[in-house]
Amino acid sequence: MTGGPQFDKCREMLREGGVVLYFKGPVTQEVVEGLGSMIRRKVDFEIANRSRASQAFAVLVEQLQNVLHYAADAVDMATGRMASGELIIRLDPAGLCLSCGNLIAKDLGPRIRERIDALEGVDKEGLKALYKAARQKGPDDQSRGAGLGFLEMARRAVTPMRYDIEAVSDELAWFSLDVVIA
Amino acid sequence: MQPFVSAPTRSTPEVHFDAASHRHRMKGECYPENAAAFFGPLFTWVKNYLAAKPAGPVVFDLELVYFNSSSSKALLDLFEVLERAAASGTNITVNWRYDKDNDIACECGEEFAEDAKALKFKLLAL
Repeated sequence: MTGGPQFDKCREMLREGGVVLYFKGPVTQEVVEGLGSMIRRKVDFEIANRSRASQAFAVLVEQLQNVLHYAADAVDMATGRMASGELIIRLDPAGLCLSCGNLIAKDLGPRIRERIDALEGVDKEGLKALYKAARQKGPDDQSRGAGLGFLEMARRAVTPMRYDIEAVSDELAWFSLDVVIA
Repeated sequence: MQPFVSAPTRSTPEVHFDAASHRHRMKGECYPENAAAFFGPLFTWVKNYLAAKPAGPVVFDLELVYFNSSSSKALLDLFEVLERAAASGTNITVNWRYDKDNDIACECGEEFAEDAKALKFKLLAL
């Protein structure tokens, strides 16, 4: 099959895991636009659910723009920013799961933990209040955007967001985040 | 004052702000890689426009399919600029247009509307 027999096992696992999309490679703004438009159309067409399509789109954009902004290997080129990332979209008992991963500088880990842990167990109304307060306050100097990405995704999620930070060297860690939408 | 015009792209809206008619329009997607870079020139234009105390009713027609969290912050900043101008006497209306099937756009509009005081913030389902 495509790519030679060594990929057959990989494909089998993706199929069994209910994977709708598996992407690993360089992320640019054009990739965000292309994959975003693809998932919006696919969900809208196959599941005929426009609300789910916009939720999936919103989470995908936040996930991949986080890669662009914070990945340890991100580079700024004349044509825009580029960084390596991984995105898995798969069917989940609770809905659709969008998992995203990228390398981060290890010292970014505690900040990410603190930000995501603070959202655990907060209900919808609480998340809305936190979102509005954070938006009013504005980002801190370590944020490249508005510092609202995790909050935005938590508001779209139907189960608590899961994340993992795993050291891969003295300086680097792999950060991954699962967000499940209805 | 020259109009502020920006052609739409896949991730930025069409913008047409017109000081002559006082009708300002923003329509499309809004998730640029760098929201500050996209909104910067737009803010400069709006601040200069409002500093001249426009006499006619000022209308902002916004129809955004989707905007990312960085753009959400930029929109809040825009509405705060409009709110201050409205509080000091300028007649400003924001028409927040959204597709009735788009829950996120509706919810976001409601959240902006909650904070509007002197600014007239209308939600219009399409």
